[in-house]
Amino acid sequence: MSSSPRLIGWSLLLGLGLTACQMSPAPLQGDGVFTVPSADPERHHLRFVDGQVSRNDTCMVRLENGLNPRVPPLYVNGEPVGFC
Amino acid sequence: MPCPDVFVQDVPAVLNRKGLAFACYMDPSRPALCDSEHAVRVNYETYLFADGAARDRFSDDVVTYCGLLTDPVTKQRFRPAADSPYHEDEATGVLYYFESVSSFTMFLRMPEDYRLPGYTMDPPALSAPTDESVPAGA
Repeated sequence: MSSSPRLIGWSLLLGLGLTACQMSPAPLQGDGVFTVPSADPERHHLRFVDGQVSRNDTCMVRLENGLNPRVPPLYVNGEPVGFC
Repeated sequence: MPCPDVFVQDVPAVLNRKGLAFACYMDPSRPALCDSEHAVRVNYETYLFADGAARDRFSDDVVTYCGLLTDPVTKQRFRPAADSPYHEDEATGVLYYFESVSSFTMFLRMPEDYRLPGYTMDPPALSAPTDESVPAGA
């Protein structure tokens, strides 16, 4: 009988943990680069390791492509622009 | 050719095609003119200005105004100082500052290897070995 409350407690903790895992933003490959929402729901900006957000949400050169977090940004007027 | 390499070779043209506008680097209350006359490249960074006077003020004292630059050899971001080694590339007219004498020397030895970022999905300079990857006692 005494094991039931413990079992319920562990189950709750496990459930909370799984929920937290599902809700956490998944970091992309790129050493701390992650996506942030864009006005276009199909696209995203990138926040780079220096804390700045890309001005663009699609590649500067191949306009139809999204941004690749593994390609470092270049800077225009100190603001990062990303590439595919 | 990687997209960043295409970009740095004609930044105003790419920005115009993309439709991305910037404020003047020296006076953010004014829009920058996005053409080659009002753009200055230093290392892989580009600066856009509202007029020739703003551009000239920047160009007369680049180290004071440029902020962080990317060393073309190590690909690390750094802030140049008045005594940082630099080189005006005759082939492109681009001014390059270096974070160290060794970078400066390497660039002069093989400028064609460093004029363009050459960024791909796994840039070698950014995946250098870390302390963890060095065997203990090595």
